[in-house]
Amino acid sequence: MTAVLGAALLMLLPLVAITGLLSNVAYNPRLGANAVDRHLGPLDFYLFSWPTHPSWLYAANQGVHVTIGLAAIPILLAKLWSVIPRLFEWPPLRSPAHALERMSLALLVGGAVFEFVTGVMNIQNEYAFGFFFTNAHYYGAWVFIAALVFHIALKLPKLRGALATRQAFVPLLDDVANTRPERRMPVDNELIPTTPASPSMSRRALLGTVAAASGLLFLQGAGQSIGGPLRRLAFLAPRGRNPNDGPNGFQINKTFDATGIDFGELGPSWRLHLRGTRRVKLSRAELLAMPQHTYDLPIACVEGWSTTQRWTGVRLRDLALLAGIEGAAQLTAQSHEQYSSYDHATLSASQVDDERSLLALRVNGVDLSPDHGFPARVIAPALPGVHCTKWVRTLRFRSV
Amino acid sequence: MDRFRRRYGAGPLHLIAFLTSLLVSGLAVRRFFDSDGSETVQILVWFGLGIVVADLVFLPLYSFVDRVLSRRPADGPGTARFARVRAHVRVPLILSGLLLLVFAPLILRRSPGDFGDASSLSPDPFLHRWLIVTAALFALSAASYLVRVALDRRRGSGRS
Repeated sequence: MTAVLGAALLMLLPLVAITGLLSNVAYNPRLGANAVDRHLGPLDFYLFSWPTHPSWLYAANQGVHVTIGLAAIPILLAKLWSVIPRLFEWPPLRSPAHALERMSLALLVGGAVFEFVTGVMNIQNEYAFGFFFTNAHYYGAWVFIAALVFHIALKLPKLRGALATRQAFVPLLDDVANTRPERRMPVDNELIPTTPASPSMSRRALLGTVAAASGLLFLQGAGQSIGGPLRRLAFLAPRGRNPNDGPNGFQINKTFDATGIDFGELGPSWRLHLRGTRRVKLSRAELLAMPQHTYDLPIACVEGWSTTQRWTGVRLRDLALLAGIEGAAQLTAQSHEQYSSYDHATLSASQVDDERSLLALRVNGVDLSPDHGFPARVIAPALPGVHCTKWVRTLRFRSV
Repeated sequence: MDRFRRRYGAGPLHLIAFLTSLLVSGLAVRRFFDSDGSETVQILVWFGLGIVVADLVFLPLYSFVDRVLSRRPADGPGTARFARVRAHVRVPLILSGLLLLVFAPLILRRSPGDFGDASSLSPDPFLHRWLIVTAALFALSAASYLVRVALDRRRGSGRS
């Protein structure tokens, strides 16, 4: 049983870990002040810069991270349940090697619970913990991954041995009347009970229950990530509904009311400040008079939900030219919002240069609503949602 | 080599793997100390609580609930039926409980708070939806119980 659950986790957890690390790459932590409240250390090595193709790359990455993470929870709980006798094994420490293994297990269990609990709380905007989620979840992941790799290296031979015997699979088919305790041979295993109680549930019923629970949680993640008509399948997920009808009635990451921006600043007196080798101020009417381009691009949140909409606006690279910058340029966008970790974001030169990267003024044929960043917001392919700065005040271009 | 193995309890590769894993953990934990002190303490407390809660609170709690549910009548003609009824209560209970465990922040939320600020959605439907799903799971389980009993009866009467 433990072997089957372990094999399932062995397939799922690497997916969650890799998409988690990729999510960090997608934030371009080396650019500008993108690494919020964080000094880059030896664990921040980046082998490639985050691409802009395909445009749904970040949406898919976060969808997999959160959906597979949710689906792994029942399996993880069942696995912890199946190995609990080991917590009380006797003697508690057999050798120095055994002592170190148990120490690593504490990091493994602590790391797993920490990562899953903070992740699950964060997607529901529940910040009962008194620390900054992003950094704690990222470095906690390294503790978890380090202990997990050591654990897999130790247990893989045992897992293969157990799965190679008929014992691992045949009993999974028995009904409760035929459910027998495992025999100790040919694979001796500390988890096989010496004095088993009579079975109250067959192995297939237990695995079936775990699978059903996984499936229910999978729906929550998949529905809010894929969106469209499937969104309603995510009946308990935070973004399983549209906030309202109409062209602006799609999912919101931060409402206008929560920003504390004075709406007067965004009225007719609003100007976009361009900074480069020269300074330019543009009104919204002047921006609308520039060549407009329309693309279907997803807004994808780190929390695992996404929604694809039709955006219209001015190309960022056209604005870079207007600011006097020819050739590759990084961009730092600053919002009217202040005192938020994500009131500004820096985009890489390849993100600025992509023809689909826009300062959007309209969405689905109408002006942006205040909740979606009126008068103007950044939207770029495969860019994490919080870097698609809303209520833009300044675009600062810098040659690279 | 044999002496090392006897003393340490495993081969040298084991020790090297452990030290590598510990080094990576150490590098990560060091980063926790970047932020101001209160955050560091909170992170370490949550990390430690995770172990304690999972192993010493959560597990004994659901084992206890299951024990209470499973107090069975003395062996007799009713035993098999009891086991079946118990299974049909236990499965929907586990599924519903797990949904509550995972989505408790939304299901139990009584004011929009941070969730409303972020999404402009009301948290009200989550409790209703969870109750409906719970009811549906128990109904489904009850229906499948009745089907199984009916099938057994038919099989039984066919034989006699």
